[in-house]
Amino acid sequence: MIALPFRLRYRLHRLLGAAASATLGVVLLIWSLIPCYNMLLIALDPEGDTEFAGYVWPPEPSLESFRMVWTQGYWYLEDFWNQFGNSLYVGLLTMFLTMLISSLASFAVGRTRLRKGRLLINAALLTYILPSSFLAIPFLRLAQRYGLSDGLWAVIAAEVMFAAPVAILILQQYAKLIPVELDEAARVDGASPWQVYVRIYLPLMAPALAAVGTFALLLSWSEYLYQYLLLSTKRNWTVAVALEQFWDSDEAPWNYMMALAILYALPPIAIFYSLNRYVASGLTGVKG
Amino acid sequence: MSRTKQGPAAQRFRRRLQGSEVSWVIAFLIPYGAVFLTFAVYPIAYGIWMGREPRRFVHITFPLLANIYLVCTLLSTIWMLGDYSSVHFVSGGAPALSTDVLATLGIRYAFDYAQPQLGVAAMLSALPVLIPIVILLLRKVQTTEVQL
Repeated sequence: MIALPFRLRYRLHRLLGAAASATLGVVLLIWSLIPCYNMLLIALDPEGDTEFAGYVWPPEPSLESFRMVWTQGYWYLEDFWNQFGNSLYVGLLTMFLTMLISSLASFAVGRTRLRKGRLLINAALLTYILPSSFLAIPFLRLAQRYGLSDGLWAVIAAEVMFAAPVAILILQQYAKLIPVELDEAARVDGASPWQVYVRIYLPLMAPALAAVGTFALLLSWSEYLYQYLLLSTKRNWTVAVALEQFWDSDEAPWNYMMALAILYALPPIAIFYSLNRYVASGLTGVKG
Repeated sequence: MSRTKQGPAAQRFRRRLQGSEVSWVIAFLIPYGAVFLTFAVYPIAYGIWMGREPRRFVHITFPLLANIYLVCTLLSTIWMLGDYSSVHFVSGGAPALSTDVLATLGIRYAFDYAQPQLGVAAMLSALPVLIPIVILLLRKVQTTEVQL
């Protein structure tokens, strides 16, 4: 057996490593993108059965299904824009409330030297003992008791409840990067805790707030179970619930369903990529 | 209207996917894991990484990510134990409820069979598994400076 020189062996080793990494990356990419490809394939097909016929690309691609969704041209889609507005309302309010509650909680625990503050963080994380779906039945009863059932506020309350613990954890970790001396200097100058929070803490926490806001928005945008259980009137449905009615149909127009799903996925994609830089730095503590 | 029974379109879709629930769960998990781990790689100083080129993943990246791997795995386990949507849409518990998980079973008991107490009991039966996982997660988050 011929022994290869060290340099050649090193290069070969490096090349093989790079090839293996690239192969793994491509496989993972394909695996992750196949559902999106299938969505597009079906949405572009005028009949909506391309995926079942085994075509790689529809023979006559058409944007007709997107037009139908846009103009609410099918009876399942007659409330599309209203439902889209509901989704947006739930998503934005969940984002805002999660940012507000978690930033106040992390400020109180991390900056005001709250006694037993650590317990508060742990208690928030303990909500994850029970996954959200396990709490659906008690939450539904609670919403009925307080007159919140079939209302968007019940959904918002549920989403905020699930987004807040992780948001508090992320904000608390990020806040450790901000020197406490800044707060102390402001206090020496006569600033109240509220002023420290508004004028120092919030501006410096902007990347982390963008991260948790995006997280909360994506969570509420893609959540299904609570919206399905809590919203019963068609007028109050969100798009996630409206998609389910296609599922129940005897003559499901799959191309409309997929076009609807693609349109529904666009706003969070746009928000995520526009805030990507802040999200990355907010989650890692690396300044973008 | 039944909350969990679905029409022929769903049944047709399910027949095509039967037996592939695990792959779908993995398909949902990989993007989440990839995002978390990508963010976790950022704080590793590039200089340290470049210094040990031949086996840098084994000797540098992997040990530095050990805690985040554990936290990600624990969080994924907790989330997947309670995941409703993937199972509901992919198999719906078919055939003959053999692919039901606790979340779908609980909702089925509560809404299809109108027995909410049975549904809650089904879901709470996951507690003996969940409590140790959460305790481990809390200890990990407390003892290490985990950046999520």
